Amino acid sequence: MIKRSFRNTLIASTAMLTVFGALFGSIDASAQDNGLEALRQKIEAMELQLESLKEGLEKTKEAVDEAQGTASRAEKETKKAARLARAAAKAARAPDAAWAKWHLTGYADVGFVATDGDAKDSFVTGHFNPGYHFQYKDFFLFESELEIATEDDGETNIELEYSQVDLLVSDYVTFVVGKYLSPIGQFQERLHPTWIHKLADPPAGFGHGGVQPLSDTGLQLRGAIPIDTATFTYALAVGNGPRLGDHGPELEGFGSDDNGNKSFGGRLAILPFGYLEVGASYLNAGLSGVSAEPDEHEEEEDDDHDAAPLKGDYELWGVDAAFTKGNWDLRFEYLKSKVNGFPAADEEEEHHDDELRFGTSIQASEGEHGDEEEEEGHAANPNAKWRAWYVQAAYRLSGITSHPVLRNLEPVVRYGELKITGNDEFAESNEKRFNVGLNYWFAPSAVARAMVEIRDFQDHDRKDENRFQMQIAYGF
Amino acid sequence: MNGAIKFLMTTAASGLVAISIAGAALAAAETPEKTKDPSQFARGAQAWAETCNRCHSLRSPRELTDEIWEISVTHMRVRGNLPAAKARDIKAFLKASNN
Repeated sequence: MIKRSFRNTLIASTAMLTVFGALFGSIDASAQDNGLEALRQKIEAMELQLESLKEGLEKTKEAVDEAQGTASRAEKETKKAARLARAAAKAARAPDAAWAKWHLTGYADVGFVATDGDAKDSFVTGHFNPGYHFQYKDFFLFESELEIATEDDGETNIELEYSQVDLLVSDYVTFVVGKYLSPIGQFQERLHPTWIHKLADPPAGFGHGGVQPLSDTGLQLRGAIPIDTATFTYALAVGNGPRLGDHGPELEGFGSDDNGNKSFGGRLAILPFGYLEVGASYLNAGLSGVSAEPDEHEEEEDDDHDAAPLKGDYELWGVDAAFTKGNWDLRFEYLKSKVNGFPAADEEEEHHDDELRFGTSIQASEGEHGDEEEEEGHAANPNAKWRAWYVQAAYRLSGITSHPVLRNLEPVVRYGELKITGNDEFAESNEKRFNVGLNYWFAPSAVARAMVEIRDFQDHDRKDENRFQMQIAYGF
Repeated sequence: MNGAIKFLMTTAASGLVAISIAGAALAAAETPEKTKDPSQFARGAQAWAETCNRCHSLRSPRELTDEIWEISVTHMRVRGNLPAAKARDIKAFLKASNN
């Protein structure tokens, strides 16, 4: 039996615990409710903020879309306006409406030459070659080019390189009349401008004073005939021809024919593909000279020595090839010419060497220049053989690199020879020439270049020469 | 010069003169109609790429105006001995590409 007192105590304790528990429980629940309420309120506030942010974001997105649309429309309008402006400008020019058109073109170069030879290192003005093209409709073109250069003595020299009328009479035939660049080979007619050929000077034996004819005055028939995928080209020329000068034949276009013996020649070529061309050239002409008139003293002693016209022949043939695929530019040209038929000075007879002369110095002495000109006349037998050739390789580095500077570089190497035989007086020009250069192309027709040139003269009395050249050339 | 060679060359030159005069007369009598060839631009682009770097660097169509391209291509047709049809294609390509 549980004592009543203990039972009462137990009941009281339990009651008290229950009361206190309820009391504490209610307090805790209240605290929990307050916390939850705060949290709930906080969450509600955050939800409101989130909603507000979403609305703001939506509005920003709409604004951006609207701005992009506006920019896109503006860009389209700008492009349209630019197209309209170009079309208007084009219409204003009305190019095809005019039957007569003209064009100023040409090229120029400047540079510096350093040499270990006798000449001093010099800045050079090079060439200024303005060209003029006047075209009427699509069948008549007059074209002309001058060469303006500063000489070593400071004087300005002006020469007419060519002056020709081109009549394009059909798709296959063009008449060319006037003074024209020689169609022999490729170099003179197409490569001689300094912005076109790859080095600062022509190959040995090409250019002024070389084996390569420069120009002639006469008539050409030229054109191209497509044959399937290949092309056959021709250039047939008849002209006043070369003249005999003091240092051999002068292969330029003269304003008159000195001997009535016209030159005949030209070039035939085949292009089996657009990047490969092979050609052959030929030229034949008569040359004239006279023997010297005896002076008064000799005339008394030898009545049989009279001035007599002398005639000889000039003949040239050549081959050329060019491969220009992709970044490669490979070229080869070979020219061989000879002068023969002139009588040699007879060393067995008791004649002075200067009694038998050739060329224009004799003709000049027959005019008003008198004895002084005769004494300056050149005594030489003009019979001789010339041979000049070169091989050249160039590669544009844009084929192997896209670097903005390196891609515009173009290394070049060239080797060529000039050989004259049968005449010791001309043989001092014989040389073997090696060139290595580097071009930097600012633009397709603007180039800066540096070149080393090694000239090995075959005449033992002539010192070899090495040159370093820098040049800037521009074709406009 | 060998007289026979001279005679042959003179005869050949005379024959070419006669042919070309006849050709000029024929061309004048049969003026072709100028119709637009939709493939000319493509032909011209190819011809430009193959032909216009045979001697010098390839020049951009945007370097010159239509009028100057008209003259320049004629000059190149004579100087470079370009086939006439190819020259016309190149001219059309350059004039259409220089905007």
